[in-house]
Amino acid sequence: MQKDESLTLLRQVMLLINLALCAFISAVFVLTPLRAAQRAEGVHFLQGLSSLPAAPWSVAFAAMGFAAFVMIDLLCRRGKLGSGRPALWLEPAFALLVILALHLDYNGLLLLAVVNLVDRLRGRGRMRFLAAMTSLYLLTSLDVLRSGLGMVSVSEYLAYYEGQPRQLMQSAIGLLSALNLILFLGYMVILVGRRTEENAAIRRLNGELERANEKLSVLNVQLKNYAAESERMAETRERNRLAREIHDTLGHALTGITAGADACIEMMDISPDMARKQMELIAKTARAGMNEVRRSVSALRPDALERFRLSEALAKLCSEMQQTSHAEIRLDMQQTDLRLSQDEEDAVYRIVQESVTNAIRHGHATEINVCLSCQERRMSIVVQDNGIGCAKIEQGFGLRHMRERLRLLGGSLRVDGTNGFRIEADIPLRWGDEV
Amino acid sequence: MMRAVKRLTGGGLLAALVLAVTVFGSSRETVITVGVIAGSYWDAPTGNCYAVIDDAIARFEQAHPNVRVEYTSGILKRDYSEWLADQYLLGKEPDVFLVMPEDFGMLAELGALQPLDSLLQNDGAVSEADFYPAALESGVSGGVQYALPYECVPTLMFVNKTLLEAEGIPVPDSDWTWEDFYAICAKVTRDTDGDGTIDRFGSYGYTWRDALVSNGAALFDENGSRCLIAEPSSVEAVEFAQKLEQLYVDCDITARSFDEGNVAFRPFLFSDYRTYQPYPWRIKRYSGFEWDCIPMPGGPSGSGRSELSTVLAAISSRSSQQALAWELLKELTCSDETQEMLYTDSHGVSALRRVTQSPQTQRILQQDTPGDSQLGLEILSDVMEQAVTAPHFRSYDQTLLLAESLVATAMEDDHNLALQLQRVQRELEEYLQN
Repeated sequence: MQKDESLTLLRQVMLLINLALCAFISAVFVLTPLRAAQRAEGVHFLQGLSSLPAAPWSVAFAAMGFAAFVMIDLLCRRGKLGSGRPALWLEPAFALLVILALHLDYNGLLLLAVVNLVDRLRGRGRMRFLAAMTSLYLLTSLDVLRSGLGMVSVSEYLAYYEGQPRQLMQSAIGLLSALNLILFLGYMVILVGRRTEENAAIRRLNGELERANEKLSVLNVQLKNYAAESERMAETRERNRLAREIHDTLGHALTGITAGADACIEMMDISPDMARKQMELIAKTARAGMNEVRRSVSALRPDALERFRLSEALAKLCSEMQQTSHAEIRLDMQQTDLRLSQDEEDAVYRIVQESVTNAIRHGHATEINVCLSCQERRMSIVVQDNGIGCAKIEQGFGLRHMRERLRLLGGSLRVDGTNGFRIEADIPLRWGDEV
Repeated sequence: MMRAVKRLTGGGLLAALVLAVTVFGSSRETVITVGVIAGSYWDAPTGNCYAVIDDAIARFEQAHPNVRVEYTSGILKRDYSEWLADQYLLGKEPDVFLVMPEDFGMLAELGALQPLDSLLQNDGAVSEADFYPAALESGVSGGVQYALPYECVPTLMFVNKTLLEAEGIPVPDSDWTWEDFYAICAKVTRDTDGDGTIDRFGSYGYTWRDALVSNGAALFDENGSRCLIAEPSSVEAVEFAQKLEQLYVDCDITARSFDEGNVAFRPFLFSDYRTYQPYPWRIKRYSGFEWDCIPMPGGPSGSGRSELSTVLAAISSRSSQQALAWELLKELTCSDETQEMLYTDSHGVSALRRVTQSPQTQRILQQDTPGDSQLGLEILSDVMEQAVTAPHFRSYDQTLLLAESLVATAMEDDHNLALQLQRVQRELEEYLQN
C-alpha cells in the first residue's frame, strides 16, 4: 500500500513536469515569432532558422493533444474505458500528436505514457508495448527526422534571445527533461522492486502448498489402508452376525424340535393322542424356525419383532417355548412400553431366546424365570433356571454371541452356574438421548 | 440497441456537419492573398504602382468567379522583406507574393516557397522556354524552380553622345569590347580647360563586378559554397577594372560631373533609362547633352554582358489554395496582358520572350524615345539573352559586402593581383563555410 502511494505520487509529479515543459515549449513557439514580428526582427529571426517555422497557432494541437492524453488516462483509471485496451494506443497516439506539434523537441511524454500504461499489461503484451514505445522514443529523438520533416527546434528559437535569458530558458528545459527522466527511472525501479517481492512471495506460497500436498498424500495412503481394514472388519462382523442369526433361529427351532421329539417318543406308548398333539407342536416349531431362517436371509430380524412389540414378542416366545418343552417359563416385565432402538430390541430378544434355549437344552430345567427391568437408563435382563447348572462354564457359541452383542451396545454379561444357571445382562439405553 | 441508436445519431450529426461546411464553404467566396511592393523595386518613380497588379487581379477574378484576391497596399520596398518575414512568422503569409532578389535565397532555403517544377511541367500553357534563361534562373535555388520572374531590369551602358561627338568618336556598336571601352575612356579623360585638373572622364561607376559579369566570371558558385574570385577570368576582370581606375587616379569623379555631361560612360539600369528617356524627365535631368544606352562592353573570355536584377513571384509552401495560387502566379508572370503592362505602367522588362520581342513592345519603346535612340528591340532582347543572374544563397548580401571591401583593398596593392585575389578567395571561402 505504501509503495502504491509512492508510485502514484511519482506519476503525478511526472504529469506536472510534463505539463510545465510542454506549456513552456509551447510558449516559446508562440511568443518568439510574435516578439520578433513586433520588434520588426522577422528577417533576422528567420535568417537564424534552418527551415520555415510552423505557424504559431499550430501549437494549439499540442494543447489539445495534451488535454486528450490526460483525459484518456483519467477515464482509463476510473474504468470508463472498459478493458482499458483503447488507452494502450490512444495515449501514445496523443503523446505523438503533442510531440509532433512541439517539433519533436520534447518526447518525454512517451515516458509518462509508459508509466501510465505499463502496469496494465502482463507478459508478452507488456514486452511488445515496451518495445514499441522504445522504438517510438528513439525515433522521435532523431534530429534527422526533425530536419526531414522541416521542423525547427526550440534551441533555434531560443538562439533569437540574448545570452542570459537564453541560457536560463535552455537550462530550465534541460533541467525539467532530466527530472522527468529521473522520475521515470525511479518509477521503474520501484515497480520492478515490487514485482520481485511479489514473485518471492508467490514462490514461498508455492513451496508451502507443495509441502501440504506431500502431507496430504501420506494421509491419503493411511486413509486408504484404514478403509481397507474397516472393510475387512465389516466383513468379519457380518460373518459373525450371520453365524449368530443362524444359531439363534435354526438352533432355537432345532432345540425345540429335538425336545418335542424326545417327549413324543416317550408319550407314544402312553398316550398316542398326546403324542399326536406334541407332533403338531413340533411341526409348528419347525415351520416357525423355517420362517425365521427365511426372514433371516431376507431381512435378518427376528420375525416376532417384525410383527409385534418387544413385550408381545417376548411373551409369545416364552409361551411357545413352554408348550414345546414342558418347562414352566415365567416372564416378568416391569415396564411393557420400553422405547428401545431396533438393535437394542434385537439384542434383548436374542438374549432372552438364547438364555431360555440354553436352559432347556443344556440345563434340562423345568422352571425358568425371565425378568426384565429398567432403572436409570440401564436395562437389566435376568434369566434364572432350576436346571443342573454347571461348575465350569464353557464358552459356547451362544454365550460368546451374547457377549458380542452386548459389547456392541456397551453392555455387560454375567453368568453363574452354581445354583441352577443364572444369566445377568446389563444394557445401557440410549433412548433418553434420542428423545 | 441503444448503442446502435447512438451510433446512428453520431453518424447523422457528422454527415450534417460535413454537409453544412461544404454548403457554407462553397457559397462563400475563396480569398487569395497577394503580397506586393509599393513603388518600384529599382526606385524608379511611377504613377500608380498598383496598376499592373490591379489589372491582373481583375482579369483573374473575372476568370475565377467566387474567388477574391486581396493585398495589403503601402508596403514600401525597404519594409517589404521584414513585412514578408513577419507574415511568415505569424503564419499569415500571402498565398502569392513578389520576392525581392535579396530575400529569395533565404525563403527558398527555409522551404517557405512552393516548388514549381512539377506545376511547370504539367501545365500546358507555360513552358520554361518562354522565359529568358537568366530571368528564369534567378528563381532557381538548389536546382529547384521556386519562383518565376515577374519583372527584370538589366544593366546597360549610358553613353553621353554629345561628349563623344565633341571628341569625334562614334557611338560604339552593341558588340563593343573592353578594349574599345578602355581606348575611348583613355582618349576622353583629360583636362579640357587647362586648369591642371582633369575635368572630363571616360567612365563613372564601372566596377570590377561589372567587369566580372561581362567576362563570364563570377564571384561565387551557384549555391554559395565556393568563391571564384581567383579564377583566371576573374583575375582578368579585376585587372581590367584596376587598369581603368588608374586612368582616374587622384581624380574626384562624382555623380554631379556625370549629370553635368562630363562623363562619357556610366552603367545604367534599364528602369532608369525608361524613366529618364521619355519627354518630361529627359529634359529635367539631363538637359545639357544627348544620351543613349547601349549594352555593356564584352570581356575577352565571356559572352555574358550584364547582371540581371529580377523581382520574382512565388507561392507560399503553406498556401491552402495551391491550384488557385498557381493560376494567379501564371496571371502575374506568364500572361501577355500583365507582362505587356510592365512596358506601359512600370519600368522593367518582361522576362517573357514573346512579350519583349512583340511589335507592340517595340512600338511602345519607340514612342517613348527620340528617333535616333539606338536601343531597339534587338538590343534589348540580346541584352536579356546575354544577361547573367547573381547566385542566391542566404548569406549572399553579407558575403558580397565583405568581398567588395577585400577586393578593393587588393586592387589598391600594385603587385601581383592574382596572389592577392587568392588570399581574398581563401578568406571569403572561410566566411562562407561558417
